[in-house]
Amino acid sequence: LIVAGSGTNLPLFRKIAELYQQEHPETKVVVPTSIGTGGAVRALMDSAIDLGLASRKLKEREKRAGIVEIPFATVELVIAANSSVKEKTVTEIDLLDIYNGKRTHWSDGAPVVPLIRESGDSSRAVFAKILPALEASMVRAFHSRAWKVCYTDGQMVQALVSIPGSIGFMDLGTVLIEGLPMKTYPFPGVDAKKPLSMLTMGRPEGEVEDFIEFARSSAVQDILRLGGYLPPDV
Amino acid sequence: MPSQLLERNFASRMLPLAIAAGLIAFSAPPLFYRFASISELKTHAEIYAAQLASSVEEAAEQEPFFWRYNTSKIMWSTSAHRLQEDIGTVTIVDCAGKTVFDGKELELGTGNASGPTGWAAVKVGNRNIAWVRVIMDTAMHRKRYLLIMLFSGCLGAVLGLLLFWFPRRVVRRQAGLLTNTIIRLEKAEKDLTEANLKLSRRVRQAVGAVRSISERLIGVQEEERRRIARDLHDGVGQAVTALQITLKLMRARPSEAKNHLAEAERSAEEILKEIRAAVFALRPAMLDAGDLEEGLRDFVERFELKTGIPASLRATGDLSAVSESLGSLLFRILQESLTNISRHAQAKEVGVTVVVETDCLRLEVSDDGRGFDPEDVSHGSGLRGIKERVSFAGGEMALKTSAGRGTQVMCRFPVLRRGDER
Repeated sequence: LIVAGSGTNLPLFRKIAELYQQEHPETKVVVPTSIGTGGAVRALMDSAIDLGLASRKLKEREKRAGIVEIPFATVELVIAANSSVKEKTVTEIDLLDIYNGKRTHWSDGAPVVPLIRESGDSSRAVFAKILPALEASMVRAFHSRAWKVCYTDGQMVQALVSIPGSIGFMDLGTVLIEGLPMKTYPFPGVDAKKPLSMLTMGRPEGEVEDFIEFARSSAVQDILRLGGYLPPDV
Repeated sequence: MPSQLLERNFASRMLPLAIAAGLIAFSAPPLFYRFASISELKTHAEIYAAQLASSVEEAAEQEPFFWRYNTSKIMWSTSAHRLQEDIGTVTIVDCAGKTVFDGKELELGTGNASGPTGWAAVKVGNRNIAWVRVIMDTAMHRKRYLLIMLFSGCLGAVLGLLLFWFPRRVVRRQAGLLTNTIIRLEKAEKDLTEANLKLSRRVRQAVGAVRSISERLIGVQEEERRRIARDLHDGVGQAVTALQITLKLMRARPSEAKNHLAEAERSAEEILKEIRAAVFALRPAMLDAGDLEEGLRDFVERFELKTGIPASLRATGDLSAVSESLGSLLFRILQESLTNISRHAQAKEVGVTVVVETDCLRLEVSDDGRGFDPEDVSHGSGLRGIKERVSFAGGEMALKTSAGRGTQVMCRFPVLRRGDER
């Protein structure tokens, strides 16, 4: 059983896959590296995978192609920083100053290293909707190469863990499930969330249907609780 | 005008050349730029394709199966190309010919696939798993191309104008100079023609004068012959007739021959005297003897004896050095002058002066006679003869006279010495 898709889902589904295989040793569940929600859709259309993982709502043309979206959970998005950062809170003004380049040092004098995602990233799309000024700063930064760009969740995790003074964005679930050594701050003012869902080509059957049922069962509630996941917005 | 014709001809030949030069200047830079830019774009396309293929290869080595579904992220991560504004489209095609990435998904490239294409293979191991195709956008180069075309158009127009205008201006100036030269030449030709006409007139006048002198000389010769004939008839003829009558009487009356002998002798002496006078009038023997002064003096004395008018000769300088032809001329002028005086002047005294200087000879014949009005042409024939003789010898003659105040004839000759004659 091949389960692939958005990087936001991968830590969670690797755990779920482990649990599923414990109960169904006859089934081997493979969770490859991130191919993104779009990649999951294309792979489903090619029948290259059995189950897709999405961290955004499906587009109309994807739905028209026969992709079925099965809402699964909602994950909170947070501001993440290297563990060396001493700040207790990060405000909206702090964020804008940092990404506009006005603020270059933390309060303890350490240099600030802003990290951004590419514009197609689903987390960034959520922030863009909430705080357009921040998105404008990121667009400028991307084209001027002012800040380091991370193209996968993995790259973001690695950068936040290893670069002192770095600041970026993560989903809280990944941080908690994997116990990543980094600081997290709630997005100022509003709850930043994005939906997680499973994708199938047409109506799920057989092992895929079993796996979906398993993932939605109480068997995985501990993991969901651990990661701070919320029920899906239906 | 020749200058306008020249300028028009030059302009008609120069115009196609200027247009051709302008067209070359107009078309060469844009064509060269287009060729160079297409070549450059082709190289860029191949470089971009190779860069993208390299990124895809890295991803494919990590995920040999799923890389094809992650091409968007691969393309995002290979961000260098995003800054290239001359990329039209980027496509990744797998070995089966299926498009696994289209740049439109990420708004990668301008979407205008109008330029050259670059291909690069995506290899895993020795196997080609896909191809990256980059098609360049020529829009930016087209703008530059149009700018260059505009610039080269202006350049071509300016060059064409300069090529046409400058040489034409020079030709116009040179044609103006040529026209002026032609005008000057025409004026010079006109002046020359007029000078020729004047010269021809003077030649005709000179020929007329020579002819007149020749006719006059012939007339003088005829007059001289008539005079000699008259003298022989009146003098020698009558004396011979008288001698003939005396001799007839002596034959008819031999007894009285002794009485008529003396008369016959007188007649013979008279004949001899008349013959000598006639011969002297023709040419004094002194001249042939080379003594000009003595000849002139003898002639003046004979004039005095013949006419009874007191006459004197004053000679200064070396007359022996004067050439024979000039001596004859002096004699003839003196003869003519004295003849005029004896015939018309009613003079009481006559003076003749001959002066030989270094470079000229002067002859002056003056009388104290009744004089005459120089404007009165009836007095002119003898004087005209003198004037013609003087002029013929290259000399000058002046006349000083008025009614009741005598007459002074002054002649001046360039001196011609013996041995100078040719």
